[in-house]
Amino acid sequence: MRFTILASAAVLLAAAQDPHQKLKEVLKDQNAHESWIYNDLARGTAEAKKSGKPLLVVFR
Amino acid sequence: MVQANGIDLSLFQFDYGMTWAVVFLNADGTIYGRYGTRDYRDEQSAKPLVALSGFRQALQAALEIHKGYPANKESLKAKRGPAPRFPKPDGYPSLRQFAAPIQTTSADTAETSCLHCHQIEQADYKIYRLARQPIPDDKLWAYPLPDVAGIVLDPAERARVKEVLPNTPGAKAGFKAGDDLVSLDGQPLVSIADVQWVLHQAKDPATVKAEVSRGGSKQSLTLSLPAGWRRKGAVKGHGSWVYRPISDARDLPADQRKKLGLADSAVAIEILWADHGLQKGDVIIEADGRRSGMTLTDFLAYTAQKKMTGDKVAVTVLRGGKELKIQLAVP
Repeated sequence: MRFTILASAAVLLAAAQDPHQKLKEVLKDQNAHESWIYNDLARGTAEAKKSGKPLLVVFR
Repeated sequence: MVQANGIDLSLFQFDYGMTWAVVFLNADGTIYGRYGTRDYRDEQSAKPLVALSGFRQALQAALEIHKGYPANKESLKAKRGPAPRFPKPDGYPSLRQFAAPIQTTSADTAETSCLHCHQIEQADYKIYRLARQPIPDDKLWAYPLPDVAGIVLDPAERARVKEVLPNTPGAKAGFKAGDDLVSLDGQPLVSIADVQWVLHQAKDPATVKAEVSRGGSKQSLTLSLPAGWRRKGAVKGHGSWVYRPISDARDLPADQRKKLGLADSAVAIEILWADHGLQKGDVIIEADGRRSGMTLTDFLAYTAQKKMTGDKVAVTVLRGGKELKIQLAVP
């Protein structure tokens, strides 16, 4: 029971950390590497502003 | 970005027929460059002209531009295109259902609610078809390859000339194999896609200033593009499904023309997919009374610019050694 709760909590935590996980699942997107900001231009732009780095946007 | 729902069309303008396309930009929206090229001359493969080494160099070039920003801002202005017809894709009447973000309740809802980039191009063509207007040259022959000017670039490099075809604008301008294109029309280049961007915006006719690096030194060249230069290329693939009365096709290769007794200049368009009353293997040898000087691209452009929805194109096809007359309906 403790393991199940912990596992469920871990799943919920993962989903909360990656709001686009569901999208990856329904698209069966196996090409989405964890290092990419996935389908979230606003977040990418914010990260680029914060870091001072240029942005690379891939449309695929 | 795995869907085009709600994208800013004033910012993201590129060849929407690409299945993989890159835009490099500053967080303030200044575009540094583009990467990703396809050759639509073979419409079945729409051969991607990309290579890891070329992409690596594009990345390095984008970082160089970023290092020089904002001092180089003026040279980057033209990398942003003109105001689009609509600010977002759902402005197009045929794309209104994509105003909402992609749905993730199931794979089916994700598929039907996901806007593909190429649908933007098709939606734009539909505007012309509904208004019964010809689709203009700069839309049909969008993002021309520099090959149309006789300049063949190497996909394994940033923007290096692999070959210059004789008796072409590129040859007359003095381009040479081995030249590295540094800038075109004053814009720094990170890739072949950046060269296509400049050509895409160029007028007909046009004069385009180029800077190349040759043997360690910079040279300035002037590329004069004559009237009709754009039509040397192939029409865009995905968009053509809006107006074409045939499915997949190709210009019959020379050896097969010979077997059928067809001259080099004869119309010889081989059908590769059965549809519209045509069978795979049919060869169109006449279209609206014309038996010569019409390639597949010419035929598609003819339907896009001279025929409207509901019109017919009278074709003669070779099938099993016999000539057959068919009326094709233009969508």
